Amino acid sequence: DSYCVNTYAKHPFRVCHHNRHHHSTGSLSVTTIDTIRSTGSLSIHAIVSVWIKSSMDCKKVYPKDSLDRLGDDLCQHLLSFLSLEDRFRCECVSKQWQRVVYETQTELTIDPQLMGSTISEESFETLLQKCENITRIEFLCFNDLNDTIIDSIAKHCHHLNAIYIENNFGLNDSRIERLFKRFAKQLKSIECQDMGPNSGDHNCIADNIKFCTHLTRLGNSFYNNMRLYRVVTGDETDVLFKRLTSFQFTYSNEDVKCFDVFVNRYQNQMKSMDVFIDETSEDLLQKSVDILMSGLSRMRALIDLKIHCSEKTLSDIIADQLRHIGANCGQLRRLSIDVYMRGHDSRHISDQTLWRLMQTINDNFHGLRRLRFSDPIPKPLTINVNDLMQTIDKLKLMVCLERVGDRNRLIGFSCSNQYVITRNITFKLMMFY
Amino acid sequence: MNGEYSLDTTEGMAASGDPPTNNAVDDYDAEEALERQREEENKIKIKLKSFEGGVYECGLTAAKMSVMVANMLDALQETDLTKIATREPIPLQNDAVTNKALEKIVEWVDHHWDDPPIDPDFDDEKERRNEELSHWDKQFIDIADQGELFDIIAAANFMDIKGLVEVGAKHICNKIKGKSCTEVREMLKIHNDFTPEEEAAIHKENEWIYAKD
Repeated sequence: DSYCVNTYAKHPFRVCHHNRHHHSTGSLSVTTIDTIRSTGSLSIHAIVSVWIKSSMDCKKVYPKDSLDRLGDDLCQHLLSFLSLEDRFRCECVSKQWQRVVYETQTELTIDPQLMGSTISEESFETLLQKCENITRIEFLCFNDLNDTIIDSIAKHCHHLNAIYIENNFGLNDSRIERLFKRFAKQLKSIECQDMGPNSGDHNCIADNIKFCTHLTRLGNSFYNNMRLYRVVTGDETDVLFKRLTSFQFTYSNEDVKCFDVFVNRYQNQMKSMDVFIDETSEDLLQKSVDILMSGLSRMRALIDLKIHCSEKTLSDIIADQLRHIGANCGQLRRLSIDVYMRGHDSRHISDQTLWRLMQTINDNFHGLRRLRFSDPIPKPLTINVNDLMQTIDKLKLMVCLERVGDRNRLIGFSCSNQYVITRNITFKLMMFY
Repeated sequence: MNGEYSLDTTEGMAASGDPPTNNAVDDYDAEEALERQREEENKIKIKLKSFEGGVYECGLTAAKMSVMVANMLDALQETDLTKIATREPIPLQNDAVTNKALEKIVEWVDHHWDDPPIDPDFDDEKERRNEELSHWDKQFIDIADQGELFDIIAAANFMDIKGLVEVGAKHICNKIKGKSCTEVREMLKIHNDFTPEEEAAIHKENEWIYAKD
């Protein structure tokens, strides 16, 4: 009867029973619950006794202090926090470990540390055969890539859906082409960081990206990222990435026009935006930043926004313009502001700018849960927690407030404790150095 | 009338944008209410019974960190929560749930019941996976008797308490870190069921990992 089916779906009475060796998951069927109900006594004992009967099967005795007593599923989970190296060292511990130890390895980093002189092409292929659940590969600074390595990846990584490239000049056009030919349909995330201004690689990626119809995240911080950017804005192709929800990009004067197209196309789906305002080569026009900010405030689905800019742009323009984003994007839940150094600019967010920002945010971002400031060489603010609490009195949903320095060192609103918890907010703070 | 571009955009935005939403306030009220409810419910004590028969009291919200206990309570369809307190103890029928293990598990859920919830919109889950154990958890799980440690992990797994199984997993992986397979076998009392030939073959395949050390 449908009533019981519904109840079952709502409360899947799933009981895991890990017996000594073989793991079994016993679950109560709809009819069993039905039977118990029909007898009229729905007691814990009735329920428990039914599944005990169904799950008491094989028993093999192992010593209590031996890991052998745990079933495959649990053992696999326990070993899921091992590093790649430890997994390979531990494969020969026992047959059970051999069965489970590679199952949870989902990421692979190709860098000199892994690839060095010690791993041969055959060993690398064996590695990929053993770790068959790899979904994400990071190509870090390793320039001795060869075609065999790429072929092995194309042959064995059936579940690959994320690629991250950082300063890797070994990935030439033909290799990138090979990767895209094999994986374009299944890739969900592509990120490319810090490729040199003369790198031709981004052209090849831009040519191929239109085939990645399942893309949800696209990230790039090219010095010269115009083409890739225009693929998404539709100047070069009409592909609309229907699932794209996360976008990281560099913004400069020339991007003004395509940014508008971008906003029109993606304003209802983009959840996460990470913008690097490029002030390195020329003077950025105030107008360009205004257009950026007004575009961002039209992103209706935005929940996570990160802005990188110089301290000057932050205090001159953004501190004022930010309120429009707050007023229009009520769904925004995380805001990160990241200041980078430009020429002789200030190396930290000045106290004055910080207070202005806090006020603007307090007045306009009522739904905000996480706020993070980061500056290259932060100067500790000397305030006490009570004053800090007053500056964010309207941010009732706030759970985390951070100020971090370069390389994620926690610096900042100087207080004596690293973590101060008041009103359920975790302030991540650090003593000054 | 000022011809500044920034003023134009300001006006344009004010006209086209939605009025500031009140969602934040509603969200806050809803969250407050939920938190209060969790606090109230945790004042209701329920009884859990170990495999060895020992009975331990535990706050309701804390006990519900065990998905298994939560499902059992749901299956009872008890609308008056206070009645749960007077019920017979919930039996935990798995031999890993010893008195000692259950006592430790109750201690763990009592400490963790008000942990901030996982936000699916952010990478909370991934971050937590990558985070080191807290000082409290480290002390909690540093148990000299390995049989007792495995009891707790197996019992937490049986009761489906994800966070506690993860604490156990991180603890064991920390102990394995950097050790050879012989050392690992010895430490965790694992029986080597490979023949010497099989073991040598695996060693040969994974030779590169030893060359790195």
